Amino acid sequence: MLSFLSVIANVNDQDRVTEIYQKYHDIMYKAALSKLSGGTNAENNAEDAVQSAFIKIINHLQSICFNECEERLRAYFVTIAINEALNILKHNQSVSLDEIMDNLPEDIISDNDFVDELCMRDEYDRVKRALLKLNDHYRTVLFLYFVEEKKGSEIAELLDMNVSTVHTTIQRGKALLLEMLKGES
Amino acid sequence: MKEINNSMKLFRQAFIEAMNENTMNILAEYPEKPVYSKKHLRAMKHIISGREKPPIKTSGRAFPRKRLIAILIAAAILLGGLTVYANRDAVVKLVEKIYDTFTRITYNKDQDNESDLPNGIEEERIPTYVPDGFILQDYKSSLTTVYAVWQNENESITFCQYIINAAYDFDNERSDFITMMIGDYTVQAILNESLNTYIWNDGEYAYSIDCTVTMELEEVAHMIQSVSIKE
Repeated sequence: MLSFLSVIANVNDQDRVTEIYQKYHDIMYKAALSKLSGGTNAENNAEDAVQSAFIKIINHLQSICFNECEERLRAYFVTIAINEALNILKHNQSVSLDEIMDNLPEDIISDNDFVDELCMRDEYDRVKRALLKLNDHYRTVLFLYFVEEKKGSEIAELLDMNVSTVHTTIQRGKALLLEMLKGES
Repeated sequence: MKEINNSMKLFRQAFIEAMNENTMNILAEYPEKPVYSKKHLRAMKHIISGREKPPIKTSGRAFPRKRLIAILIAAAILLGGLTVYANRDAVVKLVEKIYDTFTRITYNKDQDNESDLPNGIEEERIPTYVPDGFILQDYKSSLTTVYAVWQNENESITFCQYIINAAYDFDNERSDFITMMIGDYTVQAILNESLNTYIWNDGEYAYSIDCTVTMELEEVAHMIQSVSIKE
C-alpha cells in the first residue's frame, strides 16, 4: 500500500531526515531484507519496505523524540522498517494477522500487572531472551506501546492496522510473553 | 504525568536491549555494505527531499526521448490556443538550481505576496478531466498535500496539490527539463525515460502530475487546465 507523504515542513526537519537516512538507511534495509530473504525479489521488496518506512517516519517526524539514546532511536527505525517488510510479506503470502494470533488466551492483563509479573517472575536476561523470541508482529506493537509510549491510534496509523487489532495484539502479545516465560521456568 | 515504576523502566530497558541485540544479529548476518538499485536511490532522494516516490507503473513501452521532446515543444505551441478554464494569476515563479547530480526546482516567492499564500490546504483541488479509461484508485489529503492516483490497465497518473514551499529534485543524468505555456500556466516538464512530471502553480498552490511517457501532452494539458475545487 502506498503511504501518503506530507511535504517536509522546514530546514530542521529536512536535516533530521537526511541524518536518519545517512545513519540508519543501511541497517533498515538489512533488517527488511532479513525478513524478506528467501522470497522472490527480496532485494527489491526490501528497498520498497525502506522507502515506505521513510515515508512513515517523515509523516510522524514530530512525534519522534530525537533526544532519546541512540539505541532507542535505532530500534525505533529498525522496527518501522521490519514492519513494512512484514506488510509486504503478508501481502505477498496473503497471511492475515488474525490467523497468526489464533489460539492465544483472551484474558485482559493490565499493563502494571503484566510488567510486575515479568520482573517478579523472571530475571532481566530471561525477559530479554523472551522478547527476542517473540513473533515480530507482537514485538513491534509492544515496542511502540511500552517503549515509545504510543497510543493505540498512533500505532494503528504507523503500522497500517485497525485500532482494535492493535489493542488485541497488545493483549495477546502480553499473554504470549508471559506464557513464554512460564514455559521457560 | 504518568508515573513510571522501576519494573516498567527495567522492562523498557530490556526491550531496547533485546531490539538492539536483534539488530546486531542482523548486522552479523549481512556484514556487507548493501548495493542498492539506481531506482531505489532515486526514490530515496525524492523521499528525503520531502516528496514521495512517484507511484507510477511504467508501461515498459520504449519511446524515443528526442522525438518525445520535439513533440512536446510542438504541442506546447499548439496548446496555447486551448480553452482556459481557470483564470488565476500565477504570481510565484519557478526557480531551477542546477547541482552536480540533480536539479532542484523551488518557488521564488514574492515577499509582498508570501503572507497571502496558504499555509495549508484550505481548498482541495483536483482535475475534473482525466483521460478515458482511467479510474480513480487512491485519494488522500493532509494539511499540506492532496494526492490522487488514477490507473488504467497499464498506466498511472498521479496528481498532487501542495502548499507553495515544496522543493522538487530531479536527476540531471536522466532528466530533460522543458518550460512550456499551457493556458495561463508556465509548466515545467521534467522528462525521464519512463516518467514525465509536470509542475505548475496558480499563485496559491503548487501542483504536479506524474504520468508515463506514453501519455499524450494534449491529455495532460486538459488535466492541468481542468484543476478546480473538489466538490
